[in-house]
Amino acid sequence: MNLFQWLTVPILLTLASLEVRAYLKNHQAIHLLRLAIWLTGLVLIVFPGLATAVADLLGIGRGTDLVFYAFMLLSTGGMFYLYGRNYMLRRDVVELARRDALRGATLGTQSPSTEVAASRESENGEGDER
Amino acid sequence: MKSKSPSAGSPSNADHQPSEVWIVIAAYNEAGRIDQTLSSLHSTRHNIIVVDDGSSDPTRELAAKHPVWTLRHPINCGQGATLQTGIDFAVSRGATAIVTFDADGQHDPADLPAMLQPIIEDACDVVLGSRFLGQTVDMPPLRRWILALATWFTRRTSGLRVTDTHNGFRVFSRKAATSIRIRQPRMAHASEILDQIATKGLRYVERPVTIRYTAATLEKGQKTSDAVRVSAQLLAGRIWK
Repeated sequence: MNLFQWLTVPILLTLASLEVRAYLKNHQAIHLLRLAIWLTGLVLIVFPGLATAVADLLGIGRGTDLVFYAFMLLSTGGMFYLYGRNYMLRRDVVELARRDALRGATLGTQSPSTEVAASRESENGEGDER
Repeated sequence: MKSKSPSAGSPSNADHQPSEVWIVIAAYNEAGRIDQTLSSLHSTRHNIIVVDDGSSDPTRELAAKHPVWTLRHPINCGQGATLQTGIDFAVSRGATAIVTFDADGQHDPADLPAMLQPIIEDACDVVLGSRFLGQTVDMPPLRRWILALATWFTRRTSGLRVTDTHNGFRVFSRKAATSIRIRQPRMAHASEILDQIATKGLRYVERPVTIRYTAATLEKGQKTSDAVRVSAQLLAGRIWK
């Protein structure tokens, strides 16, 4: 093993074992996906010729090109995933903002039309005078 | 200034008039125009809700000087989210008809009675304002072309026979307001509303309205390039439901 392999293999093994532990704990599929990524990286680092062999098999030619394409695909997928997470998180933020807005509703200057609403409210005992 | 604070989500329908109309105005940094817009609506004698979407200017303070309900998002959430907040509030107050009206003075309150009539008569669930059945003032030709394209696209995708799209002047019956849920927080909400009208089988009609364009409204309103952004938002909304 060369220096690079000595440096990266322990890190990838640690990450893989953490994913196994996490999966056994909560059984979320995302841990299996990450485990597959770490193990693939581990195998390709330990057996560099394997990437070239697989690339040949796929008609790509060079192992580095195969790794580059895989990286591009994974990055795109990762960005898509993060966009989705951000999209859903934003919805939650909007819901919180809405609740806050509904709690803080106030009636402006009185007029006949809004007095009707205000009197109804006081009759129902729903509001507090600020 | 007197002000009242309601309990959140306290629907009480029994004591409301059968045709109680609430006008929802989503406002973001509209300090320069909200006063005029609200003044123009006073004569309608309807309940008005101004939802300030986290403005950095005194939009809410100016609105609160009028006899209207004001709500404020602590952060900017987008027009779609803001309208839904206003609709939620109106429904919780027992509204039977809910109007969405732009804060920037583009809409004409004189169109309101004709917009409300089909709802009052229970002839439909949603009334959509159409600038192409009515009239436009100072509309740029490029905007007209883009809207025509968007309308064609809407007709193809939703199946609705509409003549206008992304027109913020609408009236919902209570049934429609509780049935439609705006989940697109930003500009794509207009297309989403039309999609939901189609998928939920709500009855709709179009009524002619007048839209006035000014340099200020064109500066702040939707840009032509927003068409791509709206499409992306709609796509995202379909993937992450």
